[in-house]
Amino acid sequence: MTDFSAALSHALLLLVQLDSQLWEIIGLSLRVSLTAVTIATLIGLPLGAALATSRFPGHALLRIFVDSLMALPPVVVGLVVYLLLSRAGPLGVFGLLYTPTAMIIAQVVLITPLVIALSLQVFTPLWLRLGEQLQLLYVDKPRTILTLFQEGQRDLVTVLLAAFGRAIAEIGAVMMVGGNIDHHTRVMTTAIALETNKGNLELAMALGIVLMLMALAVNLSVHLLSRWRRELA
Amino acid sequence: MSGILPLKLRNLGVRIGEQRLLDDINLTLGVGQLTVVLGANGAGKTLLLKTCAGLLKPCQGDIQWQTEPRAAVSPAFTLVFQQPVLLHRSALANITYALHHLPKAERVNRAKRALQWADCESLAESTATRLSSGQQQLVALARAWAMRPQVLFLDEPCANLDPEVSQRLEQLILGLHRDGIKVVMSTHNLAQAQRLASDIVFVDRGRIGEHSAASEFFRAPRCAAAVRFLAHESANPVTAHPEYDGADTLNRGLV
Repeated sequence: MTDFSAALSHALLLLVQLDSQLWEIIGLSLRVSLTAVTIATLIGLPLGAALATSRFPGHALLRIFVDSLMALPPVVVGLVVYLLLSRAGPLGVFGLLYTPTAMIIAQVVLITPLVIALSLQVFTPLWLRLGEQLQLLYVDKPRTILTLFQEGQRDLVTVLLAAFGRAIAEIGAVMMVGGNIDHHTRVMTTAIALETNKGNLELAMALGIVLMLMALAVNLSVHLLSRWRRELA
Repeated sequence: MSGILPLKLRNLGVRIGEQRLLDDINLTLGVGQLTVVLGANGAGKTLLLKTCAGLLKPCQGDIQWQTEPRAAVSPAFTLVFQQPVLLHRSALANITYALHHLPKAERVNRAKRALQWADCESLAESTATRLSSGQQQLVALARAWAMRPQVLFLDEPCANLDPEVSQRLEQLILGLHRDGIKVVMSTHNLAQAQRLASDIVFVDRGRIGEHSAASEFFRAPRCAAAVRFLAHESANPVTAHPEYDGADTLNRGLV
């Protein structure tokens, strides 16, 4: 218990002192995860909208497949991306393994299905409510999708927060393709694992506190958004 | 005005899943009349209107407009739903949205005139989805007016509305009819049908039971289902037509 208290107070001291190593790790974590969320959003939201507004043979199967991908184990994603980016892999020529770019790719693979599946849950009821009316208003497909984005924007923010929450807290994939290299690919989750193994509990605890605060901020944002939506409804 | 009419439905059938919900529909809707589609709940009134408006694809038969080559959605006609579907933006923006094919200045101008026409300019800046049901229906009707359709389908536009709003809507519907827009509306409100209809299409269990002039329909309906419907819905006893032959459904259309 004394160890825990000492580690906690030391961790708070590191945070207050704006320890450069600590903030470097936090900065890289945010850069990797925010970039991954941005890319996953650009891919996932239009795909979610397109899936919600169209019907074709195999549509139901595709939806089940996308839902299943939400449960992708991060280490499996890490392994696949590792094989793709490794020197002998098809993308090995780009030399991306053990770089932040590799970590971004792994997180994009991990959270894009989440963005598609969760946005489908936003777009599907919207399409059910608005679809026939938009057809009657003679609205073309791009404008239809834009309208769905506008009508669902508050729910879509929740989707993106959930994706960010999954990305920032993920360890398996970024560890495998990033390698946890100091000053290069070390992010909060991989640093916590490493520093704990090394017995450097203060830094691990400080990072843990930041990670918890971020998770709290994300959940608080989702909660406040939901309440705001209810008030507006 | 009604250049795309008449609308001819020939041997039309609509299936949803395995269930055949409209069957053997033969109907001709011409210029001039305000057509009311009558029938009990679940008879197929909404499906019939949606099919005419191009939202549902028939599984058999065809729909033929005078000048439209196929049964698809067209700006020449539109449909106002029982539960108006409005976007989460101002009433004015909902109408300008529907006029996306026009230049911006004209869009706003026509949208304002549409709200004036429906006597609800005061709602222009209100968020449409937060308006009362009656106000939403007025905005939906104003939007339809602004689109200048040749044919307007109205699916039970006054259902669940208070008498005052219903009366306002009826006046607007009559106004549309007088302006030369072909109105086809469904209802199961007999009094309303009597006030508005020039001709009645009676739908029974997915088939056209009868299509006749309103005065004739209310005086002496021809099909058994219509007799039962009128007897049930009206306090006044109904006399069957002398030619009534006892068949449940007839396909007699006005051309």
